[in-house]
Amino acid sequence: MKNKKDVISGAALQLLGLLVFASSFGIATTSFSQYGATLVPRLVAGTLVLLGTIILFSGLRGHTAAEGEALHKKELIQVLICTASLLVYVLALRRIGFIIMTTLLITVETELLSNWDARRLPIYICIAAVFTIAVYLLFTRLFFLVLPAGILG
Amino acid sequence: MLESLMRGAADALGGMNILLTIAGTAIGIVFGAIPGLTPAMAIALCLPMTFKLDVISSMCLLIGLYLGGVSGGLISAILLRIPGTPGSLATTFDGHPMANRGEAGKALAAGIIFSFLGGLFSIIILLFAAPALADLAVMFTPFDYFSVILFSLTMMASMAGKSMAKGLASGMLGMCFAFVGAAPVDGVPRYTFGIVDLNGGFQFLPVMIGVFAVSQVILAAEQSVKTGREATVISNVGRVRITWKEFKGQITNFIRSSIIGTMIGILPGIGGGTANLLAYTAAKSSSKDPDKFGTGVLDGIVAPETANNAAIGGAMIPLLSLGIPGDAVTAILIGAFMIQGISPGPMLFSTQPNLLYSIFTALILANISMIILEFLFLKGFIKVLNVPKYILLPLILAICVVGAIGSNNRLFDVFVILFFGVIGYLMNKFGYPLPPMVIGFILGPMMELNLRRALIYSKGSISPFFTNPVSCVMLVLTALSIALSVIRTFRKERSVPDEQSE
Repeated sequence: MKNKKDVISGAALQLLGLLVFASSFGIATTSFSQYGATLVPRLVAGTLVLLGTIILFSGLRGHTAAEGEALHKKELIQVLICTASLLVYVLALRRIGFIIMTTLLITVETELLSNWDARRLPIYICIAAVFTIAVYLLFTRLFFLVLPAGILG
Repeated sequence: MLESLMRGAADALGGMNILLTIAGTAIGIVFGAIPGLTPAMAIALCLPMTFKLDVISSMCLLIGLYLGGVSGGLISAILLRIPGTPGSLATTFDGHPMANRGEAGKALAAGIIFSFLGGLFSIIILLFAAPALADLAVMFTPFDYFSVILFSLTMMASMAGKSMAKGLASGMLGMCFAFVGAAPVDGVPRYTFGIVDLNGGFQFLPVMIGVFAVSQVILAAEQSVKTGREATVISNVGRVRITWKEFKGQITNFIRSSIIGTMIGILPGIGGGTANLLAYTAAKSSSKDPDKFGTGVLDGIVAPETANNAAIGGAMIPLLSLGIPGDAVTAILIGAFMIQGISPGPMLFSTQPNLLYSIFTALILANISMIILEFLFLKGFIKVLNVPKYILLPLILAICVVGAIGSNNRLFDVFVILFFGVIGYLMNKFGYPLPPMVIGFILGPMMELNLRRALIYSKGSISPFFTNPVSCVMLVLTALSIALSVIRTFRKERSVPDEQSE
């Protein structure tokens, strides 16, 4: 029986190895170029292609036991929401600001991890707001870190 | 040596440093005790706080976190039957049956006392072995260094996961991420793809935060669908003590497990996660009554808990004397040194001996803090186990963001933690171990630097790699470790179709 995970990851490693190898031709050369900045990346790229091939074939021949179960649709949605919320957070952080965005992020993530327990939403919002403000004050006042103030600044 | 030891100890025993060690140990115990939170995560999250501290104070905090993190794992292993850290896996075998029998207090007391003693044993070995190894390492040439690092990488890769190919691939992936930015020796920019923020390469701290913390949040999001009620904690532990007779009966077990733990810790790449299982197996096979193991015997708690703490001192030996990490946590400690502008290695013993003895003192202090904190505040740590992960992890995520921004004062690093969080999650799902990637990320540039220096020195000849004794021995050991792993993999692969056909 095929181990799909090994087949996919083996192919991905081969692709990455090829990408690292191909990109190495764009690296500038210097007087040390004989043993230059391309030497190790090319060696590593070659090893990656080799390892990718071993993993791919081992997956095709079913020589390795499949680890874990495949993701169900619900689990995949949870993962995608988690990653997307983080991405939105990163993109909006500078403009909206740390306090509002982090409060929102903590609330969304708490809801997500509690598998959408809507009854406790007000509690989660309170925890998120208090924690975010405490972290903001601690790091900006005590450790003099510059956190984006955004629309509140 | 005595003068440096006294000065180093005096530096580490300043009021602020004692407080930082105690605080670090307490936070470490909490992170170690809660399954899903790891000592590596605790250190990665607390690293931003060290920016404003001097090097000794930051080491006190980080060592406290490391030691506390490893030691905290026993609490959940005994009370929840879930190891808080991989180093406490074997503790569940006998710890939980004892807790179910109403002997949780005895199991916890044995675990805490022998964790302390195991740690102490390895710190004493570290005190004597590290300077001796550093004396030897001062004479290392780039050929030797390259071969030692290659050995460390292959050992790590071949031992970390179930598949050697995946372990090696994980290590290579870490090296690939380290290629981004300026190349060693000549500073030529590579793999920046025109992104200005990548000119300096991926910063160490956001990478660690992404791999160890953000990936856990994504994993928890996936698992939240099928997580029903979280496992209940046995909160009635009774009296936390063992008798003198029980203690005396464990001395041979303690000595054997301490030696196993320290030796495994010294070997690059395999730390407490392997040491505890090996010590448990050794204790079982040398017992007069091996059948009792697994039913709740003290020997089954003493062996793994002694060994996982003994691995701490062991892992610090290559870190301090060679500048090569023994496990994932010591790899992060190397990063902490770099943040302070210090490169750990043999020269540290001649240039900054006080700092080294401060680190030894901090280790002893953290060990003492650990035993006192775990005995005095055990009930508090047990209560923390009841805080739901869906509350804890999002709060940790917020601190991750602050840590990422703080590492370089730029928002780009928040992208970096997200990127490495996804990478860490995917590697986890596809069965690739994470520690080799971290070691590859840290050791990759060191290996490249020494390889290129060596080749420039030898004018391209590779024969000095085989004629230098240390380098030659290391290359032979590298070949042996790969050969052993290949044999192990073949045996496993042959057994899988057999099992499937049954």
